Amino acid sequence: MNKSRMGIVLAVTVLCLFSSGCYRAVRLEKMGYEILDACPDARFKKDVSISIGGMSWGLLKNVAMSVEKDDHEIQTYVGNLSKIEVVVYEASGIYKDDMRPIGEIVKESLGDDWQLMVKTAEDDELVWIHYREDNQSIREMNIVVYDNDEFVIVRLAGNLDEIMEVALEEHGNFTDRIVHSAR
Amino acid sequence: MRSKILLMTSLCLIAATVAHAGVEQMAGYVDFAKFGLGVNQEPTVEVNLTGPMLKLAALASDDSDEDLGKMLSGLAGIYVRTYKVDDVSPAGFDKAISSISQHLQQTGWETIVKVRERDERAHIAIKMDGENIVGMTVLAMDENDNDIGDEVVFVNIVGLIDLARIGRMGKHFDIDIDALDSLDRNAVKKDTSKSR
Repeated sequence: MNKSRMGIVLAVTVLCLFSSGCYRAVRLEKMGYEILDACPDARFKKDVSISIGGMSWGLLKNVAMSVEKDDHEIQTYVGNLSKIEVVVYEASGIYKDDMRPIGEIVKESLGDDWQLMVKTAEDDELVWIHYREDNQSIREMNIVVYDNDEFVIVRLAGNLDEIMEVALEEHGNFTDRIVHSAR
Repeated sequence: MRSKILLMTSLCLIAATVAHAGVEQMAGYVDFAKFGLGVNQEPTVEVNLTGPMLKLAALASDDSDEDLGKMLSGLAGIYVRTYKVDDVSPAGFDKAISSISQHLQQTGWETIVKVRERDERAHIAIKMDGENIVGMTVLAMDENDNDIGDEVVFVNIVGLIDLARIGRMGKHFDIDIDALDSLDRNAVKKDTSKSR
């Protein structure tokens, strides 16, 4: 390979890496650390942090949609999402008494244009689901779940109306489904 | 150009604020927080369904249950707060239920169910606007025999409500309150007796 061709390949590789949209979920990590630091007995270790959007998501989307051609549910879920961010911590020592500070941090971190849809604290599981709408459509969802050994934050962006509609049609009770899907 | 963008952004923000303030200004809305709820204790379940979420629930119900879909499309908001009642808090909840009941009576709400038994307390009230029911409030405190403990539930449904379908809607949204089911049955009975 001559030098100029090598340069082009390198440039394309670097460009692909930087434009792939596959990074650490930095803003969710920040929210996660703020929450966990506010819980006095929490012990935690970051396990996963990933943010998939842009080209990486486009690639994954195409693969998933061609593999699961006949699955309407998967087609809708994957086809309407534009970005997924996930951060997972191995965590323990978070209790119901920590709900108020956690709720306040999540709210403050998300901002005023986000609304709390569901919050539950049952059977040692804590869940918060917020959404952000734009022109009467759901554009982003933020889900925070603690279930005794894991603390998870998920952020979804895209045309979530269609996803929610399919989820509601396919699966029974509304809030129950939302909470269980969050878990 | 920049001023146009700023103006458009401001208008959008104002429109969004007005849209949300809308439900809170409606006759059927009750702000539970005003009655000291949640000051000392966080709800174990909090559900706030407004705007697009309700629209979606209506759309999703439309295919399987057209009537329910129609009813949901007439609603502007569903708010649920569930609290665990521990040894310390029953008096506080009792006071909150009394204050809310009193407020509802003073502001033109009609009580349609009132239960006061040893292990159960329920108060269901509706807000009328002419012939239409435009709001419903359910306050219920229940003693369980199991280890889960007692619960107190506050529900506020805002918008056009059909009593005959309210129990079905309760099931749809996992609002498990016996009084709602009986309301459903009574409304159906009334309808049947009317048709005779």
